[in-house]
Amino acid sequence: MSDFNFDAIEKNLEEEYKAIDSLDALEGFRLRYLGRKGIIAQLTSALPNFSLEERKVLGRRINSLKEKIEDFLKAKEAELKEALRLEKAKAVFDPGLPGIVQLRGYLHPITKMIEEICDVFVRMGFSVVEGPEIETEYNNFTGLNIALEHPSRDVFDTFYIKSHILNSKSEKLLLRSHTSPVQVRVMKAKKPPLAVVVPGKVYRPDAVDASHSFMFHQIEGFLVDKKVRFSDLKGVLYHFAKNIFGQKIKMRFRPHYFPFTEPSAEVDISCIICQGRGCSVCSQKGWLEILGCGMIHPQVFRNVGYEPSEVKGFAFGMGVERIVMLKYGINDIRLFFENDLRFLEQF
Amino acid sequence: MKFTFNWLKDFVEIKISPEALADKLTQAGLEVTSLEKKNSDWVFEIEVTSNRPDLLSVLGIAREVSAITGQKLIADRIERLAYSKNFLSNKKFKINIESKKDCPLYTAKIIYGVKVGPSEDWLKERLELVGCRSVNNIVDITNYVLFTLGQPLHAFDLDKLKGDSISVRRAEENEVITTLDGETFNLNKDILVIADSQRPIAIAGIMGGKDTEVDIDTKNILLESAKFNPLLIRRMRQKLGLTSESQYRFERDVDINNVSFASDYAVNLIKKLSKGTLILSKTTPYKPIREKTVILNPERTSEILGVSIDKDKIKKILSSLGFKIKQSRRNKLKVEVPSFRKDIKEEIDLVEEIARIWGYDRFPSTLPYIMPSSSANLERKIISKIKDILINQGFSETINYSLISFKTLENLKIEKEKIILLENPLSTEQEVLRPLLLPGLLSSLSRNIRYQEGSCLFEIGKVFTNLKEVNFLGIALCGKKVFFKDSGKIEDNFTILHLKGVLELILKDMGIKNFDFILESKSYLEYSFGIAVKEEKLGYLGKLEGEVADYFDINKKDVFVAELNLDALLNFVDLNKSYKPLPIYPVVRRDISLVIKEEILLKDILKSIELAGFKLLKEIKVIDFYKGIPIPSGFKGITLSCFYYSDTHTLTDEEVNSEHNSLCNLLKKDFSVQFR
Repeated sequence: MSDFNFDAIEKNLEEEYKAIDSLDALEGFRLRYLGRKGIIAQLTSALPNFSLEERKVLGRRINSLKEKIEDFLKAKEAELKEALRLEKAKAVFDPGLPGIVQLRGYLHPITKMIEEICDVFVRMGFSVVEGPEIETEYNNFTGLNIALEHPSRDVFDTFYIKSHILNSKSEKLLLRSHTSPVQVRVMKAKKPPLAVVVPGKVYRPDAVDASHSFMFHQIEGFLVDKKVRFSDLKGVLYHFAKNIFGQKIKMRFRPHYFPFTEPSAEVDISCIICQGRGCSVCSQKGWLEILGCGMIHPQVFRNVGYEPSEVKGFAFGMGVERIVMLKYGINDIRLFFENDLRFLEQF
Repeated sequence: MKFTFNWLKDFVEIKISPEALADKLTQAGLEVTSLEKKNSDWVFEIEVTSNRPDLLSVLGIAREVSAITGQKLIADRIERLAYSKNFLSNKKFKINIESKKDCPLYTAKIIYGVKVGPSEDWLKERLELVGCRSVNNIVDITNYVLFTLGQPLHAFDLDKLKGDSISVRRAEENEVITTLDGETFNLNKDILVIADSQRPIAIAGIMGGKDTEVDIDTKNILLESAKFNPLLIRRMRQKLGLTSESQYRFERDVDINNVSFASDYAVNLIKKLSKGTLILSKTTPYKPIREKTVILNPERTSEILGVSIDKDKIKKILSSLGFKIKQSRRNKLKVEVPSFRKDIKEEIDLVEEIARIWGYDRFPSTLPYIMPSSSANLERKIISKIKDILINQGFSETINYSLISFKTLENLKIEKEKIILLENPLSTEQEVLRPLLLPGLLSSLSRNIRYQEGSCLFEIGKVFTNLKEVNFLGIALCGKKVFFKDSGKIEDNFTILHLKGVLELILKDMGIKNFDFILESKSYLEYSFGIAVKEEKLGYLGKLEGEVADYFDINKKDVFVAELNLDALLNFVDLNKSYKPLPIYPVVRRDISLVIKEEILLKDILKSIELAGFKLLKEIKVIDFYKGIPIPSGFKGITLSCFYYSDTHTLTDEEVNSEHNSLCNLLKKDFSVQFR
């Protein structure tokens, strides 16, 4: 029975198993035990020397030894392969290196906001219309009921086009100071019902600083139909504000003055930074002014050839830069026109 | 406009806190921009809209408060002076008005024997709270009346005036005045002055002269209360760069019916606070404003506002604001407008008054019915598509100023004939409407390339020439794309082909097939090609001249730029798609490697193959391009894959060979290519 010292074999087996550190060593181990002349084969070939009873007992032990060795082999192989994969991964891929991507560009945040705002109105049934940036004095002022002596017509408030290039009979031209002249253009060209939003650039001779720019963007909107009410204006703008600033936003209409609307209002939203509690962004007021609006003045209807007793309408206008600045906490309007990628790629 | 809580309480009872009042004022359109507790009073500052000069006075604000809170106005606190026309002295004094247009009304009161000294504390405090420095009792009284009633006054030291008359006239060239604040102004005919018989003694409506100011030794005064042309005052303010509380009110316009009243009120205060006897009162003739009437239909009011407001409530709101309801008939109100409300011209103006006092926040929010629009904005859709293509190709959108300098155009050597200039530019940096997108793009490129290996930018915006504005696409790129592979760093330098690639993608996505690149020359480009669609030139692409890149301070060489007229492109856009069946028979591919002279353009070869009209040749792809050994210098090597296909049968070798051979012959004959 000395050839069948299972305890010694198993002890030896475990020690050898522990020492295996490569797939080659593992193969050596396999051959030593399970090979054609391996230990299991030797044990099996010695079996005929025993009695039938003894053979049964020994055969069972040999089998369980064999199973144990096979389990060992599987486990070790998995362990070694895993280590190898980890090793390999480190050798071929350092996640610290930048990945390879197709270059991608970024839309300007002003474009994105214009799209976002126009989309809200388009979903309500408004159409997007654009107008020229060089305008006539009539469309920019007179048609909108802005009096001849109104200060906004001053050279301090509006850029005028140098006149020597105009022919003598033509009217004075200017860079539009707001998007409202498109109201006059659209109403002159079409009959109500009208539901229009107008995004675009506007110009005012303001020296450039953190909060002023001689060029900026506005979105104008107007609705003209037989029965449009002041309460409709509130409803439409409330829907807009909730879509752009979130469902929890509060809104406030303050009476104001614009020559082309009556009644007129300025619209505040609850401060999106402090939710109305008061902070430095809203000057502790809890409110942020975002747009001007009102019912279209009867004189504007007369100017475009509509009969004021037959139509009603509302109009609103907002500064796009201001809204983007409020929404993202940007404190310098010049950033929009410097086009630094480190700025653009944040939106 | 600043005022205080206590001052306001002189004219209207207030039962709510200053904070609550501030809130109500804001809600009624008198936006309170600051509220501060000072001493035992509260200082309000409100933003007054340009249509409401009547709110530039404590009394005017008190009237609003009365309407908002429902408390009665205590207007009788202001005593009007009662005086007889028979004055003690027979002092003679004459007022000459050069133009009634410049000065529709001038009143002068002569007061003898005033005792000039410091003001009483209450007066001093009130003025100082609203930011007005206390000078002496006479000057303080004029300012007090200005703030209380909104009518500016001025007191001259009568004994410092030369002669027994004053004139309101335009200044003569080279006349000079030193104003109360010590500044000296050279005057001219654009400036209206008050003058004695020898010299200007005040810049009309803006500021008095130093020479005739009321000081501690003053005994007799001339008190001015007048109305000046608001437009003229505005121009004078702009020309002189001089502002004051008076100028602010005259520029917004004062109520002509208030001019004498304010003067009388001031005389009363002067008598009370600094003695003095009224000797003479002079007024130039004028027509008081007749109060106009406006018809208001309460039903229409409710229709416009979207909420029904009771007729009695309407009446109450209007009368509390100083309107008089003359008649109430057939559901219509005849409303008389007070002289200080020049902003009220028609019914809708009254509707706003009602809405404002009733409270904007009390109106419901409703949604209108909007007729679905029939046409989408195709131009916007296309521009948005183009932007998507550019973004996906790594180009970022910029928005640059439309106003540029003349110098920039000179550096680009661009013709200046059709350039549009501004009449009133802010500076020479922004005096021209850009005739091309390049300058702004290059400035942005310059800023970005300082910290980037490569920059790819574009802009879509208007350019201006010859009084036309056209939508353009501009693209600029320079530098390289850097990335790493197992073997290490790969640097992919941007070339003109990167630019061509994206342009081609845009044109193809717009359904434009027949475009061509045509050699041309531009003053600011080292080399360039025009982009043409069906013979019409829509733009260009090319490489920037080195010196132009230097001018824009772009620190990397090889800047590639392109511009494309999008309005013109729009005429060729065809977004309709049609389906072509996939091949059902095998496609036969034949490759040809050729060597051609460098100056022969592959594009011409491809064009000529296209024009030859091969029947089976469906597509040609460039699969290799090479210069250098073993290709002799002055030549380039190109490999083309030619794909032959018929949709009726499987092509035989003979069929393909026949067509492929004629293709090769064409290349040999027309372009003297060598085959490799």
